[in-house]
This record gives sequence, structure tokens and C-alpha cells, in this order.
Amino acid sequence: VEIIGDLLAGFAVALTFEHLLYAFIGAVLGTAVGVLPGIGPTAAIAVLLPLTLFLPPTGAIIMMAGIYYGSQYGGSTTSILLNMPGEVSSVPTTLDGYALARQGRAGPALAIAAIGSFVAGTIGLIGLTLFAPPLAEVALVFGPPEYFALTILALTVVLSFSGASLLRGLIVAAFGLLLATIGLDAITGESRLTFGRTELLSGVNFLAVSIGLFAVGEVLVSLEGDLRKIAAERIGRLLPTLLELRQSFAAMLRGTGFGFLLGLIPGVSPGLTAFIAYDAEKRLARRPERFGRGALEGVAAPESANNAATSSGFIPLMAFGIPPSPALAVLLGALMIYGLQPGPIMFKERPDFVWAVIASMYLGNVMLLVLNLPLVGLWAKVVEIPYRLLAPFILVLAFIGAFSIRSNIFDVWVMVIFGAVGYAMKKSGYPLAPLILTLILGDRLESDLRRSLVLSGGSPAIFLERPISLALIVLALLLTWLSVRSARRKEVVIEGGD
Amino acid sequence: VSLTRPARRADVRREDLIVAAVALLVGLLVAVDSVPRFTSRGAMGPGAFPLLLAIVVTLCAALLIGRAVRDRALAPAVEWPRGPALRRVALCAGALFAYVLTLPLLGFPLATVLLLLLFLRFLGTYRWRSAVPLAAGGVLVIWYVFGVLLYMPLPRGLPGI
Repeated sequence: VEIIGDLLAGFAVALTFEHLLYAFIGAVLGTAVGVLPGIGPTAAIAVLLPLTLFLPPTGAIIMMAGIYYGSQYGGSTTSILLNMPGEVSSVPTTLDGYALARQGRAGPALAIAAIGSFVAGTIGLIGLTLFAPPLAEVALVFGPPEYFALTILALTVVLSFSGASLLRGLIVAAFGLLLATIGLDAITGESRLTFGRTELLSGVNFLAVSIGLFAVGEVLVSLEGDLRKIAAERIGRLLPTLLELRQSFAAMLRGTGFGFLLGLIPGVSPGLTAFIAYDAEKRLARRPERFGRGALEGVAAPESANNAATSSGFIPLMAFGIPPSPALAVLLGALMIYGLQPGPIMFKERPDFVWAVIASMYLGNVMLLVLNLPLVGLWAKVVEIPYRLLAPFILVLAFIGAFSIRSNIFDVWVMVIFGAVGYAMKKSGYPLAPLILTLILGDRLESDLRRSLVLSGGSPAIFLERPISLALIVLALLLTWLSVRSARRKEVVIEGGD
Repeated sequence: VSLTRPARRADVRREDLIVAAVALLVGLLVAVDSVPRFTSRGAMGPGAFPLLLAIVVTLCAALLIGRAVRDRALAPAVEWPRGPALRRVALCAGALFAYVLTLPLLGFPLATVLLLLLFLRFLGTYRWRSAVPLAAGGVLVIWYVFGVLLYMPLPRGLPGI
């Protein structure tokens, strides 16, 4: 009941003209980012964040969040019309979506994708509304040892699910944590790992790194491909028939369920979520052979899953300050810049902010439904902007984003270097998510560790003496053991196959 | 362990060995910087956490190298681009590098026009007659939006363009 009151108060803030405008801009930009291949939500948020620092925090975060969930709507458009996913999370949608488009049923496929996204996004938000506040209450009893153990658990989860080999993920994570330690030590004020360079005293800026990894790196990867123009399929009749709706409704709900649960887990990207939901839907189907040849369920399930995952991802972010995806990590960085530390204190001290953002997401989903259903033809036109024209402008915007962080050319160099690093990592299968998550969580992880050890007088046993931290650490160890074991088993299978 | 066991499939690639070498170097650099600052007034000092990470990084590198030695072979290397694809990636990276290098001198508008021209003409294969107006128009719009509307202090360069 209290929650409903809070949410209504949030709507009161979100419904002001100013905030509606920010949500709308976020939704439009998000859809555009989703439609355009070669630029993803993480890159877009990282590039735009420094440019929005002059805005009040509520408006800026409403807009950033809009870009994030909006991008999940747009991604399906290109998957269906062009067989070219705008985002990774829409890759499974290409399988049946494009098949439908070839049969002249692009319209219903697009509509089902948009409706599924809306249903899932909204159900996910109801979950966020109901579960985030009680979870934040739980976090009230957390001290430094518990936060340390929680962050360790989150990083373990990221490494286990990042898909790459555990060892490669671990190296990336350790590098990220090391990057985070560069600069002045927060506790003693000593400079660390600066090797006499004054530019490094304030640390390696995480936004510059994010822009490099996700914007510049992605442009470099995309340039390898063909830059020619591709022709879109015709959209045709847009509205789905009642039969088509009924056919895909259960798939939407199942996709929502999978997406919601998987979205809570750090490192499980909306992309992976969509794959899992598609696969599950195919296994559950009475006639699985229809999949890949134009089954509407094959569009409904993954598109619902990725939207539910983007909504539920805000739960660990808001309750514990743990971002489950790179885009949310950048969003967490934005909150920190505004001096807002997610967690119980944010719910207590800035309920106006928290609830306005949540309420704006409900409104944003409605806007996105309108933007994506009747206006889908417009977005299909946006796709026709050739990448050869788009790419240099993405680079210039990336430069402006990196430069405007502190009006400093050093940050731009950091961006360029990490652009190259990001390209090399993508090419050689090193996961990007652990790098950005550790870079953003590194400071807190270290200070929690050091404060815990001060509390205990230097004994690391403190992590095992407090029940919550003990449970979290046991869980982390268990997960590591499981993923090492499953990696071994995979090796055995490969050997057997020879 | 049976002797007839088939050879393991190598899973360490040339790229992983490069990463391992970088990791060893980083581990060493961090250790040099961190060891003197291991403790501070009896508590964990500013050097302790980085040193811990340096050890993790070094161990990972050792594991990668150890696996490669054990397998006595490397997994197939990553497919890096070749031919025209390599040319595009290298041109883009080089152009970006030159852009950032010359930008403080040339100023944002001039350097950006040059970057866009290079990109559109040689990577995008636009003809000069479309590349020039696209680049000039693009810079004008960007300069107006960010420099004028959003008051961003974009570098003007030495000539004060």
C-alpha cells in the first residue's frame, strides 16, 4: 500500500511536462539506437551522459533509462525487415521474424514484437515496483563486509555467465579492478599507479573507457563488414489478427518470466536472455519444426524476454547498486556522478527521484508502444541511413562525449586506446562486461574490503563470521566450483568428439 | 592416466599468449608501485589491493602459458581482417589517431571536416561532390548543437578558427 502511494507520487513528478519530454527523448533515441546496427545502448548512454550533466539528475536519468529500455524495442525492427539485428538481443528474432517478413507477414511480426515488448516491459516494471523496495530494506543491515561479499558474488556470477572461458574473464576482471585503483587512494590520499603522470591522478575515467570500448570498438568491428546498402522487406498489413495475438500471447508471458528472472543475474545480458527464451519456446512447442520458418512465438518470446530483462535489471541496480549489464553499469556511473548511491539510502533519502524514474519507465513503455507500432514505417526509413555515412558521425560524437567529460584531451586518448582494446577483445573473444563492471565497482569493492578489515582489526575471518557475508561467499565459491566443473566437462566432450 | 589417451585439444591461442605477456608486465609494474605501500598505520595500505590483483593477474598469465606448454600446441589464431577489410579498419584507426593528435592544433571544426571527408570519400566511397557538402554540413550542425546551444568548450585550435 505504501508502495502504491510512493509510485503515485512518482507519477506526479514524472508527468510534469519537463520529465515527459525527457522520457520521450530517451524513448526516441533508444528506438533509434536499437534500430541502427553498429551503435548499442551502452555506447549511446556513455556518449550522451557527459553531455547531459548540466541537466537536473531526475531528468537526465529518466532520459538515460529511456535509451536503455527503448533500444530493446527498436532492435526487432531491423531483425524482421532486414534480417539484420539492431542489437545482440534481437538476434534470435531474425530467425522467425525475417521468415515471416519473407512471407509478407512483416507487419504482424513487428506488431507482436512491439506488443510483447510492452507487455513484458510493463510486467517487469510491476516486479521492479514490488520487489526493489523490500530488497533495499534487506540491504539496510549490510555493512562493508556484506557489501564486499555481495560484490564478489556479483563478479563471480558475471564471470560464470559471460560465456568466455573463466580464465579469460578473470584476467579481464582483474585488469578492470587495477584500472579502478589508478589515481589518488580514497582513504590515505596517496597516488597509486600513476608513474609520475599528473593526468592519472584523478584516475582513468570510466566514461572515456566505456565510450572507447562500446562506441569506437564497435565501429572498428563493423567496418570489417560490408558497407553496402540492403533492401528492407515490405511491411504490409500491420495489425495482428486476434488469432495471431492468441497464438503468441502465452509465448509473451513465458518470455517475460524467463526474461525477468534472468535479468536479475549480473552478466546475463538481455541478448543471452533472448536466446534462452527462444530456445525454451522452441523446446516447449508442440510443433517445434515451425520455428525458423515463421512462427510468431519465435518473435514474441525473445522480444518479451529482453524487455522483461531490462526492467528487472533495475532491481539489483536500485536495491544494491549492482548493475547486471554494461549499460546499467554506465547508468550506475551516472548516478554516482550525481552523488546518488543506489541502495536503501537512496530509497529513504531521495524517494522523489527513485519513484519518478520508475514511474517514467511505465510512461516510457507506453510511448514506445506508440512510437514503434504506428510509426514503424518511419523507423524502417531510419535503417536506410547507410552505415558508411553514420560511422564517422558516431566517431565524432564519441569524441565530443569523451572530451566533454572534463574538457580534457587526455580522456579522449583514453577513449582511443580503449577503442583499440575493445576491438581486439571483441575479435579474440574476451568479454567486455567484466571490464566495465569491475571498473565501476572497483573503488567500492576495495574500500569495503579495507573498512571491513579495520572493523575486524585486520582479520579476514570477519567475512566468514557474519552470516549474510558467509552465505554470499559460500554461494560465490559454489558457483565458481560449478562453472569450473562444467568447463571441464565441456573439455571432455570435445575430446570425446575427436 | 592412460597412455593411449588422445591428445587434448589445445585451447590457448597466440592471442592469449600476448595477453599473458601483457599481464606479466602489468603485474610487475603494479608490484613495483605497490610493495612499498603495502601497509599504512597497521592497516591495509593503498598498495595492498593492487598487489593482490597483480598476483591474480600473474597467476592467470602463468596458467595460460602453462596450458600452452602442456598442450605443446596452440589453438587456431583469431581471424584478423585481411585485404580490404583490414584496409578499412586500419584507415579508421589511423584517421582517429591523427584526428585526436591534430585536433588541439587545427581546432574542432577544421579537424572534423578533414576526418569526415577522409571517411566519406575513402571509407564510404562517396564522390567528392557529395562528401564535401556532407562533411561541411555535418560539422556546422554539430558545432551549432554542441558548441553554441550546449555551450561546450570545443577546441578552437591555434588559428582561432
